[in-house]
Amino acid sequence: MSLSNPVALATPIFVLLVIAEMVFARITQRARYETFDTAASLLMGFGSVVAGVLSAAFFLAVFALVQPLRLADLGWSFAVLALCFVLDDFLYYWWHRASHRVRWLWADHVNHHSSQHYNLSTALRQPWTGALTPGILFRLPLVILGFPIPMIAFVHGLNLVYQFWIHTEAIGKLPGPFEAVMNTPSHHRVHHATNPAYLDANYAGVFIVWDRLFGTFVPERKEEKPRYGIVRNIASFNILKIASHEWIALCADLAKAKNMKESAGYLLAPPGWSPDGSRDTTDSLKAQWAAREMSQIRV
Amino acid sequence: MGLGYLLASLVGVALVVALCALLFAKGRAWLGAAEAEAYLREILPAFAARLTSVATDGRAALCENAVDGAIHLLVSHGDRLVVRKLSAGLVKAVARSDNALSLALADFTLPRLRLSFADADSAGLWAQKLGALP
Repeated sequence: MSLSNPVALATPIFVLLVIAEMVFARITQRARYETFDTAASLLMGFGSVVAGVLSAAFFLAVFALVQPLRLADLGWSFAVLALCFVLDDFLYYWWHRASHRVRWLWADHVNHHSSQHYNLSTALRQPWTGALTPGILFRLPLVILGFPIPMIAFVHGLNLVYQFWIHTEAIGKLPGPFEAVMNTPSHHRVHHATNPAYLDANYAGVFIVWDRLFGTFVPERKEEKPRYGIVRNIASFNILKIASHEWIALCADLAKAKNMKESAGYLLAPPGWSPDGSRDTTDSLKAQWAAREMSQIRV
Repeated sequence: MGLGYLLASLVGVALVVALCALLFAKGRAWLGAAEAEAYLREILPAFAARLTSVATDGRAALCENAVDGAIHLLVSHGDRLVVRKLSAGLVKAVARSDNALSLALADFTLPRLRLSFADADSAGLWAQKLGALP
């Protein structure tokens, strides 16, 4: 059975929604666009489409290599499709969490977070170098369980389409039951924020329940306005620099590593890790922030 | 996915960017000393300003943290700011000329910077501090 690529089908709608949000932002000032930032985000999206085409054969080859190990043939039915969607989102949660905590994966994923703006164009700021990371490992369990490969690709596309609309400041909090189960603009604003109170939180793709279950859920608070971007923001709208900056920094660190332990640390420890602990990580920033909060409470 | 799809996507990108330029004035973050210090207090959990100097064009500033003695560089990037904690490894070269400092940084995401200060003393003081970075 063949299925269309949901992302390709949705792209014209994405463009129309970006335009609609721009007009809304201009009228209400409830969102903000910056021309060069928007251009960079859209061109990163375009580049990720090209990169996706170029790396598709690699991903399919890995899937095909693993498929003979499958435990069952689950075939095609609505129930299997629904189960595949939920399990794909579960695996997305773990891939996403690892992408923020393992520098090798972060080198690719950082691109999506590199804008200091948060609007629908940010959703399209997608990385190009997923094939250089071990990220595909997080999708292989679905192949091994016996879901058809086209179905896995289709539900993953649906997952990405869902995540488009949550990249906005134009929508506040939604009704309670929806916020309790689904990933929403409010939850995802927290994820994109660099405020220490919000770091390393809300990794969900579609269902926020994974964060609630695994202890990474942080609600958006009115008194803590999200500040978007990355801990070490970059001062460039050049898409080649955006796509490569963390890879170059990672390679530079690996080149100066004194032994295997240091190499492993640079590659697999959280972003910001260094042998002498001289750099800030999200953990150290959160600890400093907690200490400041405590001292203010005492005063 | 054919060449037509890719070309149409590029045309779409160009049109959206043109519309964005039309709707939104070009943003530029301008700095004052108080703003620079407030921004650093916001993003750094342990920060108290000891000394701050803003370039006369308001597009960059140097700020010394009283808590740990670290020097932070703030650079305007579009309508936002980018901050770097300066270290000997990051600052490749500092050149002073009268009231201006030229900084070459080992960070290819930052532009080569020239900060002009209100007076030569400020430039001299910062050149000294940057030359003694750990």
